[in-house]
Amino acid sequence: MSENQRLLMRLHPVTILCYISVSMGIAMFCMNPVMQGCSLLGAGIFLWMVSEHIVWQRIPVFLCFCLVMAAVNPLFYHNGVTVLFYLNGNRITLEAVRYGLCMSSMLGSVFLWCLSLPGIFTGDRVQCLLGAVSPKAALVCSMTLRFLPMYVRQMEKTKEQQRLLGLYRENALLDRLKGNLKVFAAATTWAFEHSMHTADSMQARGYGTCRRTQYHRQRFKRTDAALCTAIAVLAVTTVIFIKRGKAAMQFYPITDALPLGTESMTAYVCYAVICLSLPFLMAAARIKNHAAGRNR
Amino acid sequence: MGQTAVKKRSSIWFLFIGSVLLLVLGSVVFQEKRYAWISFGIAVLACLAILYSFDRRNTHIRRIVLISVMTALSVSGRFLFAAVPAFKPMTAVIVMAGMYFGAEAGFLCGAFTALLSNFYFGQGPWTPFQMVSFGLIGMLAGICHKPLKRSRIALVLYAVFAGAFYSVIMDVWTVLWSQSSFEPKLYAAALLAAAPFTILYSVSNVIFLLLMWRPLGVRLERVITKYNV
Amino acid sequence: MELYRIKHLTFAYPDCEMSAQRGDMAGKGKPVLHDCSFQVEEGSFVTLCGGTGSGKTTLLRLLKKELQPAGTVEGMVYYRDRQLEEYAYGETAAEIGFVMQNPDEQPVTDKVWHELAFGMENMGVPSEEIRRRTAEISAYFGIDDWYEKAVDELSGGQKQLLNLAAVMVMRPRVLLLDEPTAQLDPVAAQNFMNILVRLNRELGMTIILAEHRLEEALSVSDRVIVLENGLILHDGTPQQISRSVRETEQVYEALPCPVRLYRTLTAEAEESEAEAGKERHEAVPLTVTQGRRWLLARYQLMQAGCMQAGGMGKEQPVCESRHKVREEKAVIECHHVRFHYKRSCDILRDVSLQIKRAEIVSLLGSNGSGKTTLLHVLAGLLRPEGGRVKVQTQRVSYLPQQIETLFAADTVGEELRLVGAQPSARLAKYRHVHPFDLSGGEKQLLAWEKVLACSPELLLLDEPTKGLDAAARKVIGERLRTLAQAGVSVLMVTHDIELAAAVSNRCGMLFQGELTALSNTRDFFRGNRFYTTAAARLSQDLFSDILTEEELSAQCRILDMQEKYREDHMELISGQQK
Repeated sequence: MSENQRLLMRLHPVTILCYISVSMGIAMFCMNPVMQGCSLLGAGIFLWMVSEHIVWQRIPVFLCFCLVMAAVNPLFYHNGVTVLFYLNGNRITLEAVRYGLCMSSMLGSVFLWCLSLPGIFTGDRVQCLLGAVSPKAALVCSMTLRFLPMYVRQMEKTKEQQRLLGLYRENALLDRLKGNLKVFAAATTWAFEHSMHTADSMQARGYGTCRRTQYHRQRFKRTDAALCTAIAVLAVTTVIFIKRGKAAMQFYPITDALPLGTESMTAYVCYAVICLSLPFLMAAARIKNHAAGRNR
Repeated sequence: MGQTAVKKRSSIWFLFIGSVLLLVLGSVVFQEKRYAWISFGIAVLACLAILYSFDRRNTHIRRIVLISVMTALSVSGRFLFAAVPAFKPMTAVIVMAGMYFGAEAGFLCGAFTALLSNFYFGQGPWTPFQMVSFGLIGMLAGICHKPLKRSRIALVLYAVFAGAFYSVIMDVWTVLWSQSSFEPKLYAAALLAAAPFTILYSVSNVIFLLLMWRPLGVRLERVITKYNV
Repeated sequence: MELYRIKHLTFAYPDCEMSAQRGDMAGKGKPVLHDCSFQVEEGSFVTLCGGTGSGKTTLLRLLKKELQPAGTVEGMVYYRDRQLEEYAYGETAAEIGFVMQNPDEQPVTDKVWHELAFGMENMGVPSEEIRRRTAEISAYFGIDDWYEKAVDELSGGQKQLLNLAAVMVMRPRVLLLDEPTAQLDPVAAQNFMNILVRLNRELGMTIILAEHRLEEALSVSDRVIVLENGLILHDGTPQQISRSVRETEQVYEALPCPVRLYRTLTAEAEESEAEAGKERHEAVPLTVTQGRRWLLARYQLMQAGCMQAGGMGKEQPVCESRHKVREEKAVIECHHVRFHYKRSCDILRDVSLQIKRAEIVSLLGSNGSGKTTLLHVLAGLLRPEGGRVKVQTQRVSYLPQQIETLFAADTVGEELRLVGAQPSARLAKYRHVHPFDLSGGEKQLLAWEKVLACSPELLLLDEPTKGLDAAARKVIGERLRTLAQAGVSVLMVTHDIELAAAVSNRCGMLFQGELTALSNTRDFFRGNRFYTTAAARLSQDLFSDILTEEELSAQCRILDMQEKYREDHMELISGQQK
């Protein structure tokens, strides 16, 4: 993971947030096959770069979901003029099919972006972003992340002990539920007691004496500023040219032809630059790394 | 130090005004999906506003710790019951947090539960909506804590309401997002489609709240009196 | 310069509902601390010694404004010429550092780097300064390697080190530590103590350390204050303390082995000298090295005689208090057990073990050698991947390291009713108390009662003496002996070498998932040079075959007697010659 994320490690979380929200936001709101294609490609490579293999298991499930969404649209929406055939007296139209396809690819790309989020927004980065709004909330977040694995472990241990004491038979669902609940309640008490000592330790280190600062290791460097500005400028250009070139397509009653004027082309290029640059850079770095590894 | 505080505050106003502007601008630009955009923006803004007010207020140290304990517990509850589908103690824990530590704690517990558990169960544009809906469930529990603590019936009603509320809000989002405008017909269809889940949510909420009401309540009260929170 | 001056400090917890509910008649209104006065010089290393419930934690907390418990306080606490109450809240937060007992409870944030920054964040220190100071402190403590890790991934020793570093980064003038090594394994504990000494010697840091055992602390402290039941019994240099502690006092058990040996062997001589009005000027040996030197000096005249005495010991153990295992029937057997967790290498490689009825077997070994895993496999919590486990009895009990995981009910009575038992006389008055409201010792008692409720034939113990003071450890040793006499087999994994040497029939060492050197306790320790009891280390090469302190002192007594006999004899001969 560290090798793939090396490029991202150099960036401030705000920059990454800018990148993802702009790439995802434009894709979400602009129904256009070219843009959706770019977004899918960008999201796909990005996910491949940042994620560990576990995430891939979820993709088939989602592909099914996308296909279902694509199929459902023409079944429910009967607007559009080009009738393909009738099903139970309802007309299935070409426009609805097209819209369904476009929408499901949009859902697909957004989903891919979302899948990469947990890999990108680790606890540290979320805390850094939250800290900008409220240092205290960031602290709560950090503490929760500290407690969480501890409680999960404590629950497992308690469960084991209770099972050994023979009070907790995992036969029926109800028994299992009751046992789990008992374990949960016991762990709760433990957690409360435990946390009071943590509160003491916070107090001992002067919590609440003055307004907290939020320390994060990432500095907002000049590169970050430049990248953020570039993303913002490109995003604004894209949105303007989408509007002017009517790149956001209308599907009903008749589907527009794919807009290919200079203005819409500009929008496509700008968007492609935004959402593909980072994944391509990461992929290039990785390929170079692999090549170097082989040469050695 | 005063300087950094001023800087912080100005950055927060910058953030707020920026998001409002973005919201307005977006709703003009994205004519198509105005409602989705606006609802998304409002969800984010609501979270920001509450987080900000939380930051300004002087909350007792132990209360802060207990909020994160409750959040960690509700997330770990999601793990503990991972084997049983759609049957999670999360809402119950959030409601308990609201009841015993107040509306604000309830909201924070709900919002953070949604945010943090989504790290393990899938993050997405629905996260702000989940944060808001879980947060509101906790907040409302905090507001009407008196009847909830007193009677079992009120608790059951609230549990059912919480399940339904969650579904209703999340379906608004589903509909707004997939279609260009808010269509009551589609909304009704979505609600109907989600009905089994809604019922399951409500039932699990009722069961968990009834089961936890006594044991967890006693423990919370014990902590509150023992440590004078 | 004086850093602290404590004058006639008396403290009592409020007799609140909780204690009334506990039915604690003894604790009600009775002061936890009684008229304590002492001062602490800047740059000194002070050890507060006392058993559980002696009031040392309360005393330590009273020295830090942010942690002062609620209750009635009489007397004064001066910190740097001002009364502690006069300081504003948080004014001394950075100056007075506090490290607590449980390494798990103190970290607030999820990452190591953030934990280091936490204190300074609270103080509103700007980011650049935080960056500088965390860099400095992690270099000093050698934290760099795990600077980016999650706190949860650290070992106990690392966590405690992090807690110390997180306090040190705020640049305190004085460190208060409340039994910081009680929950650590011996290696980590020693490491932690070394760092404390280093802080004291290199930076002149004032250290006030509360401890219930003095093995490591005695030789490094400048001053020792002994607390018992809220009273200061002794206050002085380690040398003074080692002389003045009486054998009847609880603290005597906490003294290091060489000191106790010295005291036992010189008790008579001292008495006679005291009668004669003479002061002894010989230094008390505080460490094993000093002890060896002292023993050598004492018996140097008769090296040859030593060997002879050792030879005699070999044939006939000096005092064997251990019970004998008569039956040959095995309660549990395992053959070639293999196990590994998901995505990790083998934890257990090839473990074969057989425990007979009424036998106590101890397994020693470092952290991560698979000790707990082996217990889990034997208890049936984990299924071995290879080999087989044959359990001949239905009644197996398991006492976990963390006894709190045993408790699942709301009251002590309910807790025991779940396993079909009634609270014993000592717990009866706490029938309606929540298990978590019990004191440490009472929790221990409840856990044992719960585990023994099914009258087990095999008892599996995971670190039964962790964090316990000398008195409680003694109780556990007694309990194990009684159990074994009643026919219960015990398998324990432990770091407590003294306990293992004192009670077990057989000992073994688990290393890298393999069981090595499982043999008769005496043979096991005879083969070890480093991993053995203090008495054995003291007497290495001087006497052979010494395991416990009693044996050593008995051996020395024999030598003394021989010496005396020889002297008498010589006198007689010389008298005759005259």
